[in-house]
Amino acid sequence: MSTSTPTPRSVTAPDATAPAGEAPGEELVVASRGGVVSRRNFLRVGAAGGGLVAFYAARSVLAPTLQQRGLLSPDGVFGAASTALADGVYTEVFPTSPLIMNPFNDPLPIPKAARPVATAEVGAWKFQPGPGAGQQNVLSSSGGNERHQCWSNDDRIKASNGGVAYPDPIVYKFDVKVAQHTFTSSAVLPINSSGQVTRAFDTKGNPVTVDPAKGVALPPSTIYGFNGTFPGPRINAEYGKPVLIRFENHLDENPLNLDRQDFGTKDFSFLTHLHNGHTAPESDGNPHYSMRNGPKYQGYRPGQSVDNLYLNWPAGGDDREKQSFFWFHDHRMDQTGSNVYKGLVGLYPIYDPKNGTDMGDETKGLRLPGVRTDNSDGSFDVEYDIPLALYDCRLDDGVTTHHDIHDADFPGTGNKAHPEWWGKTFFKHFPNHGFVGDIFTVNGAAYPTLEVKRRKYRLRFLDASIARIYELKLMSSTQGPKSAMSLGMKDDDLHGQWRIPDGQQCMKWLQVASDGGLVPFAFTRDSFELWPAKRREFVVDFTRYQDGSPTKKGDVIYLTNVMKMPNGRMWSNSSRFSPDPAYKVPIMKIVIGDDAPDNSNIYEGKPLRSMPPLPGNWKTLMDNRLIFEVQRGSAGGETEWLINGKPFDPSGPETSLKNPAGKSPLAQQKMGSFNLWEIRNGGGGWVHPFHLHMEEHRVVMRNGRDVTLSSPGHPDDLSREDLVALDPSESTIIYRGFRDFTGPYVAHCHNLAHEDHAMMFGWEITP
Amino acid sequence: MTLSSTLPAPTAVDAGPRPRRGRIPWPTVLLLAALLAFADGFWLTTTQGAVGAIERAQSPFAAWLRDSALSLPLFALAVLAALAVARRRLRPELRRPRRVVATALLVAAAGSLVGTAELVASAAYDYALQVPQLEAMHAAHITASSPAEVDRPGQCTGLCDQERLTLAADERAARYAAAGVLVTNVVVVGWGVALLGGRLDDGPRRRSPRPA
Repeated sequence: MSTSTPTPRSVTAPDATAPAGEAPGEELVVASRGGVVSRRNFLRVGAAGGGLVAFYAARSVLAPTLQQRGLLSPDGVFGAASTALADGVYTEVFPTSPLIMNPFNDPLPIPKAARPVATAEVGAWKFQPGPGAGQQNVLSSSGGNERHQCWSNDDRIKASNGGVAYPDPIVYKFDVKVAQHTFTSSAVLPINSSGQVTRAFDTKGNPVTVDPAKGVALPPSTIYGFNGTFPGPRINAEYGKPVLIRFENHLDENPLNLDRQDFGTKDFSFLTHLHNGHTAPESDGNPHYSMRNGPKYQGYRPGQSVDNLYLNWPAGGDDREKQSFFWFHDHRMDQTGSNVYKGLVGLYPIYDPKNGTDMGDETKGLRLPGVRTDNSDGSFDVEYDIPLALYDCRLDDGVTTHHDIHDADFPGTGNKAHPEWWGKTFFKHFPNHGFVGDIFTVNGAAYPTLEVKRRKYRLRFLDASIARIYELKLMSSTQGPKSAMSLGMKDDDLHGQWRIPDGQQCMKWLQVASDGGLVPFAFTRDSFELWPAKRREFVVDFTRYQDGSPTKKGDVIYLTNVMKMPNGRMWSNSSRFSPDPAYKVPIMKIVIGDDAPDNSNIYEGKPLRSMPPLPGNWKTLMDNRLIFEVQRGSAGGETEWLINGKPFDPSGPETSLKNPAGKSPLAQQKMGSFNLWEIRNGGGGWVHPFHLHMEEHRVVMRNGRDVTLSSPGHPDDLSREDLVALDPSESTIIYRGFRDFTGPYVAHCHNLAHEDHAMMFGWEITP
Repeated sequence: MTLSSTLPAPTAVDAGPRPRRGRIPWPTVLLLAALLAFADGFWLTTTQGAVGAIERAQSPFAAWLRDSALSLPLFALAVLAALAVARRRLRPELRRPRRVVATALLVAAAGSLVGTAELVASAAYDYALQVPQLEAMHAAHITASSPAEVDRPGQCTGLCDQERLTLAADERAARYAAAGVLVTNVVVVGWGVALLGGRLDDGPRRRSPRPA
């Protein structure tokens, strides 16, 4: 081959002897075989060739990454470049949490059903709950200023219930207060982002030398909690039995003199939203309502209380609209993320006793797993039916500077490290990275253990994280968990702290419900994605593995996250996009125990709850649909995220983008109407879990494709949802109703860092 | 409008025969101006997307094409100016490697001046658009029962702090992008000159008649 490869050598041609057409001073590149190439042509060919090579090299390197992020388009390239530039512009640093040295030893906390307040006790309250004027809230010593627009005996309820009123609400009272929470009983090992052991600090900020073999105890974190717990209380509710919760603000009280650190609402206000209850605006806990009515403020302040009435009444009185798993969380304007992260989370499974359909009794109705125990006060517990609230957090390393847009809210705390807060929850969120934690918890416990009987369970998953999306599998591991630091991992790879390198999927999920309640039929999945605020319910048969072999007492299974999400933008690896086989983070250990009776009867394909019908002429609504595009704001301040180019304005409803009919209607719907709304992701390499209050929707078009005609390609298109999971640059058109109540509601991104920075809009139902 | 079709005569520092007034090498000027305009336009659009006002950050590809095309005359002037300076300071015939390299660097520098000026102007415009947005957002958070509690007299908190942070982000992004513009311009001009065969003056000379 060497003979065919020319070996160029340069010769300077004397001006006088330059070949015709070449300028004086031109060099010649003479090939060894006698051919002559002018310098000019050599440069030209070299430049053209180099350009081509550079183009193809860049394309082969960048295209897969861009494609994964939904940015493989002319606009996407700019989005990716903008994001990269923004990375250098903003100061965004997170601590590395100390390593939990002995995970999977703490039992999974399973909240028992909260107990209602006795009728006699309610009767002694100064401000009685009730349907009258001023009875919906207590804003001062003279009472409140709002009333419930629909009490349990309202004509609307009677009309949908055969003329029979619902009973008076069951009353609960939850105090919103400051408390402490410990994520683990294990010793922890302070490590840095390189996975090396570093030092800890005591509560005065003095350095503490740590024995790597023993570690140190983790200090409790300060939380704001419903009744002072995280997660907060669990209400087991039932359709047809309204619940009234009096939320009373005690956040100004701090009897233990706990350090509140630098996040959580600075004025101690709160606003509670039952996600996604079919609830009147005054009880919905949304800032579009609260800024214009009731407290006329972002939330309820210390000393104030609000009676949120949850009628447990399906939309339109239609049984097909029944749901199965709500959660309630803070929704205080601008501070939802910090308050939720600080602990304001509660659980609200809801059962359907009608014909015993789904009443927590596996001998009746659909016979979903659950053994019900009724308590004397009207509450009830259900065994083998377990809510699992996933939440990720970061713990302070004492050396990371606390600095974000909210420094001014907590004077004196910003722009410096806080060694005195070592080991406590850290919360700073940034325009470019958002927020994700590096420790995964379930029901408030980091890496807990759940002991199960050999039978079927109903597991209700909730993502209560700020921004993290999970993809969950059930895996077995022969060698067991290894710490990420022991595997030589660094930086973002330390997220999750533990790995099961030899993990293999061993069981499948049988999905029975999603956001919108029971799905039309049970179906199996290898894994499922859980986006912020979403709920997914599964039945898992712990008697046998997916290959049919039986389980044995003592067998161990890991609930495993396989979605790698290094920051709040989106995943870097998941099953849908370039899976990373090394990323298997065990979140919870499941240990098989003794046999137990099992009267449930659930199997793949079993019909559960049919979808409400879609009118045959739904496409006639297309031209007049309302269009909302979520966008990056890039203002660098509080308006980082926008909808239709505007930040959240609580004073009124948003305006749609121009629709195909050429109109830009206000986001107002007549009560009792249905419509199509289009929700678009404006791109930029971010994903957005977009949540719409008040009624569930169903997707009818995704990225221009009619998903009602053929088998949906997207799992969310099988069922009713209250949250549109928007991939980068994705567009969905949803069909939904606006029934039963009037007044102001909101829709917003449930990446709470986005919501708190204006990615929300107001809409309303008019009479 | 008639654009001058000649460049200033070179000074008589060269020892060679007195140079004639050079023709404007329009293909060279246009090629280099286009390369610079679209390369610097990339930085401009990227910066808008990173920290700029949302109104200007939509449909970035179309914005890049439009803004780059609009800025083409500015870059053409910059290239012309650089070539004029090069001819005056060096020699009219920009073919020898050192002269070509020096001229190319001059062109890159001139382009970077224009590109940086664009970035600064764009950042200022972005900030002007962002301030009303910040004010509107701030106002939306204040109700009768919710005074602007974070606005403390005499201190830059609340709205003032947000405006300061926004301006700082715009300024920092413009600075980073300006550095990017300079590096990019050196690379694209170098590539463009190579594509021109290493010559920055007008096209190939007319062939001499072959000797009989």
